Amino acid sequence: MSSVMTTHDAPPATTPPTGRAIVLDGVSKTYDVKGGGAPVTALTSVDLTLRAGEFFSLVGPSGCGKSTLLNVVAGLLDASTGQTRIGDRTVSGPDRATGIVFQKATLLTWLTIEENVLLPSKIAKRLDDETRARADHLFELAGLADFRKRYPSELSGGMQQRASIVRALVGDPDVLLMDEPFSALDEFTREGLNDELMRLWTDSPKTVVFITHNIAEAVYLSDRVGVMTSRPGTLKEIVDVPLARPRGPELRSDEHFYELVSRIRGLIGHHHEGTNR
Amino acid sequence: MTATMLDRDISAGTALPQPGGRATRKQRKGPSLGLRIGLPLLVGVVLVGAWELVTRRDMVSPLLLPAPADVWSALDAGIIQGLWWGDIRVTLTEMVIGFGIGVVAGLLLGALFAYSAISRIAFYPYIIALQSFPKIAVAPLLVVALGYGMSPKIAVAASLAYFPVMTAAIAGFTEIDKDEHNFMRSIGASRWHEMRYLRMPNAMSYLFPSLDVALIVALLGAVAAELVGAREGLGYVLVERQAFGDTPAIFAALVVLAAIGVVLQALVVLLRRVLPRSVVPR
Ligand SMILES: Nc1ncnc2c1ncn2[C@@H]1O[C@H](COP(=O)(O)OP(=O)(O)O)[C@@H](O)[C@H]1O
Ligand SMILES: [Mg+2]
Repeated sequence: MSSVMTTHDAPPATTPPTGRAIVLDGVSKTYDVKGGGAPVTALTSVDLTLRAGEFFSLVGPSGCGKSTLLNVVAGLLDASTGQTRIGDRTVSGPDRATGIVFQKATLLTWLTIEENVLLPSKIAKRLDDETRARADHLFELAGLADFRKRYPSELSGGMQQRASIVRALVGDPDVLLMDEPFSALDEFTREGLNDELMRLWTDSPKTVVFITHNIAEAVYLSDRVGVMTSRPGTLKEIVDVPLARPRGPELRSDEHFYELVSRIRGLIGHHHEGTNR
Repeated sequence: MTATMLDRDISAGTALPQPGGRATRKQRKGPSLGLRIGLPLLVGVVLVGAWELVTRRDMVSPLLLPAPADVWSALDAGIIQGLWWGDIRVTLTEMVIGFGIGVVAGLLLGALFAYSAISRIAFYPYIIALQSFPKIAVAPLLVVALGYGMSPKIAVAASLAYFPVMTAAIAGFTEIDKDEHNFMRSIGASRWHEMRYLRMPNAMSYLFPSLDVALIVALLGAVAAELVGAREGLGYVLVERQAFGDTPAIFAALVVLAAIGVVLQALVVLLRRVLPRSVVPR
């Protein structure tokens, strides 16, 4: 593992890759429905390999199995078939080396921001000086330093979500999984947080799986974007995003950026019609 | 710091409460303090005035509705000259002990039912059946079994107080936010961690509103049991004064009971305000 407190000013390509490769091998998921309904096939045989340190987004219509896929990688859900490996570990349950950010900030309202952020380390009995130093650093980076003693309800939605990202990063995970983390926020806040997330990721690269409904957001952040289609949930296509890093707000009006967004939108629209026929 | 804070404000898209201030509470502007004290006071004066008028004109028999001045002198004898202090102490003691037992029993039963499906299936129907018959009806039996002392009153008070606490505890332990639960799982929390960091605090937020209900029914239980058979206590005062046709004293005792209820509820509200969020989540 990398030394933790060094700041990676250089783009990730020139530093040794951190994070872990993720390999999904024939992963599918069928939910048994309580009360005797027909089982729901949420995901059919997904094969996917993510490079260590890669930022990978998943886009697709609601119900195409994005969360299901993420929860399998997180170890929160058992796949019906197939295998998921993170580095050389086969996923069989939740692991501390995987950080998760949900759509809701899921901060515990009875703990301060700081207590929330340190809770995972506390539970893992790893609340040492190194962890505290990393928390300080992340609070600073996320602009939360003045709010660590506050309670979640005293913060705006955007700041709560920022705190929950800090919480996911504080244990220095190899993998960061994010399930529509910004979709409850307004456009303005979302763009601010995208830049913030880029900074955090550049500061300490992880392998990221990022789910979103927002195609522009996916292109802006990712090295590659996986397009999923529904009924049954399938990973249909993977689109490379060869845009240079570091990326900044000006990218949003870039021609190549716009082309990629339209292409992905076309892919989703096309398959959408295809499945409905 | 100010400059970056401003940036944050903009990127967060929402106005932030200032650190250290209690802006949120002040923003909600209700009726002024003068109005909130003055108006109820005015209503009180009008009601007592009407009461005075009705009694002075002999519109109702004084055996049913005594004059305010007579009630006042009964209160004076009972409270200011201290005739009833012993009875008040007895009723309060019964109530507080019954309340305490009820809260503990309610919490334990709530935790048991929340955690053990088997015990819930086995016992919960009986708990509900027990709840739906008037427990005060058992008071005479309890007096026979436990005597004229405090214990039957405590028993009735506790048997009424445990129920709201138990239902709140069951809800608090089981109605856990699905995402928060998933988060706890994702960080590898054990069952104990889940209890300590998620279920207990959640239960506390459900519990507090049940406490003022429990307090009031504990008072009700204690007094009702005293009516059945007692040698002291405010319930005993009611029965004894009734035997003498002393309606002003009965009214005065009711005023005292109401005051006890109000003060205790205010105490619970106050407690909730002063306890830190880590104990009583808001
Ligand atoms: N626990 C569950 N039981 C049954 N069906 C489920 C369950 N969770 C998800 N599904 C179904 O699986 C499909 C994929 O869901 P999900 O992975 O949440 O999609 P997405 O995140 O892309 O919106 C949907 O059709 C959904 O209704
Ligand atoms: Mg989803």
